[in-house]
Amino acid sequence: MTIPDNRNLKKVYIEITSKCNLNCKMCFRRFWNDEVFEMDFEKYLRILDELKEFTSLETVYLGGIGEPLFHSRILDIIGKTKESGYRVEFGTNGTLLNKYAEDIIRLSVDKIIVSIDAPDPKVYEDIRGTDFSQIEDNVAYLQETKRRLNAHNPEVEIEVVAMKSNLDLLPNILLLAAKLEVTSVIISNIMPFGKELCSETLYNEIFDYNTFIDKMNSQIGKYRLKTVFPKFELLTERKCQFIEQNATTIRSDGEVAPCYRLLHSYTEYIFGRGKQVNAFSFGNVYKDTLLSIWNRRDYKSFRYSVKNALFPSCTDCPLKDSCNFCLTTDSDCFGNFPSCADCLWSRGIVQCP
Amino acid sequence: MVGGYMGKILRVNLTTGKTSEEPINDELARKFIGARGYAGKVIFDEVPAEADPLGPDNKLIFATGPLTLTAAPTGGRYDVVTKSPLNGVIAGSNSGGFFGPELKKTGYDFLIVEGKSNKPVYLWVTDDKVEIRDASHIWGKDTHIATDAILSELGDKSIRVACIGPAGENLVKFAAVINDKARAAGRTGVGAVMGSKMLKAVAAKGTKRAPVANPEKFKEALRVAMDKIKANGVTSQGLPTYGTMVLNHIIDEHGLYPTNNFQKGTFEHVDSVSGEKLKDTYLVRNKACYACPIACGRVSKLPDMEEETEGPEYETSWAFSADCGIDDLAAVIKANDQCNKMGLDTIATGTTIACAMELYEKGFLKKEELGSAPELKFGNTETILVYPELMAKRVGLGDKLAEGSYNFASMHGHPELSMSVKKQELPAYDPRGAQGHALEYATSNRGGCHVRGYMISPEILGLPEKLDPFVVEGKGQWVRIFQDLTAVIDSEGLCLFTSFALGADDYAAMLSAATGFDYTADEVMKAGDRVWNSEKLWNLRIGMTKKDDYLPPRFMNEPLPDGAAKGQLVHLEQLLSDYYNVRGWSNEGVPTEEKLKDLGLQ
Ligand code: SF4
Ligand code: SF4
Ligand code: SF4
Ligand code: SF4
Repeated sequence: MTIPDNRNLKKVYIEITSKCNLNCKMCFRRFWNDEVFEMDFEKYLRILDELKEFTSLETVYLGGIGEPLFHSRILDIIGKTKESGYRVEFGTNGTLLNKYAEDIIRLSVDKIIVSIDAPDPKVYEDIRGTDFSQIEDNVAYLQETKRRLNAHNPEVEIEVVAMKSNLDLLPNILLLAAKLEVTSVIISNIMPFGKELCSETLYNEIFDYNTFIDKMNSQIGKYRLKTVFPKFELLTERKCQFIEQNATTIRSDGEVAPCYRLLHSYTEYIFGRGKQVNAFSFGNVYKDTLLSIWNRRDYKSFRYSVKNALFPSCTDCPLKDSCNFCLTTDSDCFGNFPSCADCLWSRGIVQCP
Repeated sequence: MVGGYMGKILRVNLTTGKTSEEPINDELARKFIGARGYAGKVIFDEVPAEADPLGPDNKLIFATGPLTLTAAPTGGRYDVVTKSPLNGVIAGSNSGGFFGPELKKTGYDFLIVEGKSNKPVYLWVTDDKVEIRDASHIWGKDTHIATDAILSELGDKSIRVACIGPAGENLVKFAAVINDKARAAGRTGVGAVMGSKMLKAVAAKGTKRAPVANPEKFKEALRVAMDKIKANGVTSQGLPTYGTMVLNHIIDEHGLYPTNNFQKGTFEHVDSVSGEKLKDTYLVRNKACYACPIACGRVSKLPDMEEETEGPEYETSWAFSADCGIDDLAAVIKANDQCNKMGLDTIATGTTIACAMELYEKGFLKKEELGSAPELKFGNTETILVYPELMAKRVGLGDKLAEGSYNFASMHGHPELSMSVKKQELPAYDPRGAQGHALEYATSNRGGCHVRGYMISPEILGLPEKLDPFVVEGKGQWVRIFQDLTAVIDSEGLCLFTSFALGADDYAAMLSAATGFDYTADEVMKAGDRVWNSEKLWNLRIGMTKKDDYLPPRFMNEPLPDGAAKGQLVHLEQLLSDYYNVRGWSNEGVPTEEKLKDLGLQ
């Protein structure tokens, strides 16, 4: 079977830096074994130039692991990307928003997603090691500046991670979100990157998520917010947001991975079972063109396999605890390289912006 | 496109230090598949029949198959192929773990070692490269110490090592090659050949992936195969839960669990040495080889052991327990661990002790000969803890035991008390309890062995269908099919245990898609037939005849005294003539001209 070449890339995630000004407890930068890079501005421009090949490309999402606002040329990057006519979105920890608020608005960034982990100052500070009220103030400042400059953009979203220790506090996020005038709240489950975080997951035990969702939803009308919930149990459906969106991800050193999950190497704990995730690259944009990488036979057939869920399902396979394939993401018993057979993103349990 | 193979063979001559590369021969690949089959053909063509197995003219091949390193279920196997020092046959000793696929990742399908070094060396194979390195500092060390030393010297823990222990160095006739510390190319004495070449180890680390000719078809074949493996009770439950030790009880219940050197067919203490018992006591977890979903491997730990150990397997647990009349599982685990470290075949080690016990109890082996070593009485636990090391190091009586039970019993005037065929010790099934399995023992090209046509599967386990184990009729054809199919599985680079769930069509489908050669189920079976006949021709060449297709006389003359198979004897003559006939061989067990022509083996 031959899959024809195409140019239908719609969204590209570019990790312009894997550096960060924080050192959060749950961040997988703590658990991985990769080097930390900042992408050269010149190299970024070359990538931007190559993106022209993709006529249906709409969105450039700046971010991967790391804080994009921490990049030394962040404003130039945003400026050049907007000049090329793309939607620009990025995810941020919010700590530097006050510094860049005016510029972000001036350059008309389309959307930012502020991840705040927990809506409670104590839990937040415990995880992030930084002051919660500062983030709140920063977002408020950005919104205020928007009003002052009479701008609509950027749209602001909040991302939180649902876990046992913050479950009771999660409904508070709505109040906060309303106060900060954000458009939506994205809730993700936690993907533990260390054994000690396994006890924080909500999805590996009987958890009355319907009541929880109802409780949240009952307030949404009041605050006029969109809330995106993750799945809280293993359902048959598998759908990968990266593949469905025709997206790709570029790491700060130029490697092209299909998604965030395979961007770096680290250990994840799926329902408490350790799995070595190995970064997987279909090529490097510093060596080959993105178009040729996108149309590599193995990348095309990988996307085809994911779209059609041609993967076994390790997560509920009776052999998962000892199967040799299951120890890493390298391959699986259907012969896929790499394997998505155990991916909680494709199950909707873990979500990304 | 030809896929599956990396396409290259690496040759290293240890006499001259020269190394070279050559391409895989497509025609041989198609006819002999790879691993055991193809490498056996290389030995057939390149090693003189009269070559001293422990001399420089013998060659030692580390051979992977076309499915090794692919995602085919259990695609992690390799074979060590050479002329056997135990009995002169083409030794093909199969092993799992991770070494085989790692070797293939370097870009070579086979590593052929020739000549003989005059000082201890090891080979370091990386992508398209090999280096001969000094091994003086690890010569004499056990396999664990040697492996660790190599890993730290080369500075990478992910390197895979196959090595010998003191047993291989001391040319023990049943020395094994141990890879990944606990997986053994156990039988036929391949470790001694490595020792004779003064090759302590092969270390490998590569980065390549196995090419697959038709990836879509290959994935399809894997899906079909995996559905069967997951649906089959043995591969999805029995083996993962209890490992091969799922068998101790089953075989005992059927009355063919050899006890006290095959004097009885049941063991009263089987409970204390069973897989169930292991699970309740010392089992830590199960462990899989490369690309294996089944995970029959055991990781166990005794309270007084510092580190975890792997195993024991069914055969090992039997050889050190029932066959020696010993009921102590902890001692069995220690003996197994010791054998892995010393680099000994556990089956031969345990059964040679058992043979010595019978000789001793019958008065053919005198107390003076034992020196200060433990008394060789059935049930004496101390024996299995002490003798393995004495054998590996050839100390005291261990020196004679190291020649194997056949030679040892002959030295004491009673070769008939060695429970062996073609000098290789029989494993854990009394042939009187299963006629087909008896025939497989007698005709196995490499001598006493259960993994060249596992008739226990139909005769006892009922897979793929249940046969009456006591019936003689029709067994020739079954044995032939099982032997040919096993030759295919070994040559492809897969684990025999997949055959509980898969059939010839599955092996043909995976092989065809991976290599791009089109095999039907019949063609792949014919390739197996070819491998078998080629090995047989070698046996004839080294002077074996029909009289080597024998069993120890006990099995024809002494009815089983107990258990479910009580009163049974092996009907060898009848079995053999049926078998020779279905093989297309003469009454003397010689392949006919016509047969060889059909297989393209003239
Ligand atoms: S802000 Fe994000 S990238 Fe930075 S340390 Fe925290 S989780 Fe990691
Ligand atoms: S790779 Fe292993 S665990 Fe995953 S589905 Fe296949 S057999 Fe099950
Ligand atoms: S299914 Fe999971 S691993 Fe596969 S591409 Fe999508 S996010 Fe990545
Ligand atoms: S079934 Fe057992 S021996 Fe075979 S490959 Fe799997 S773990 Fe290894």
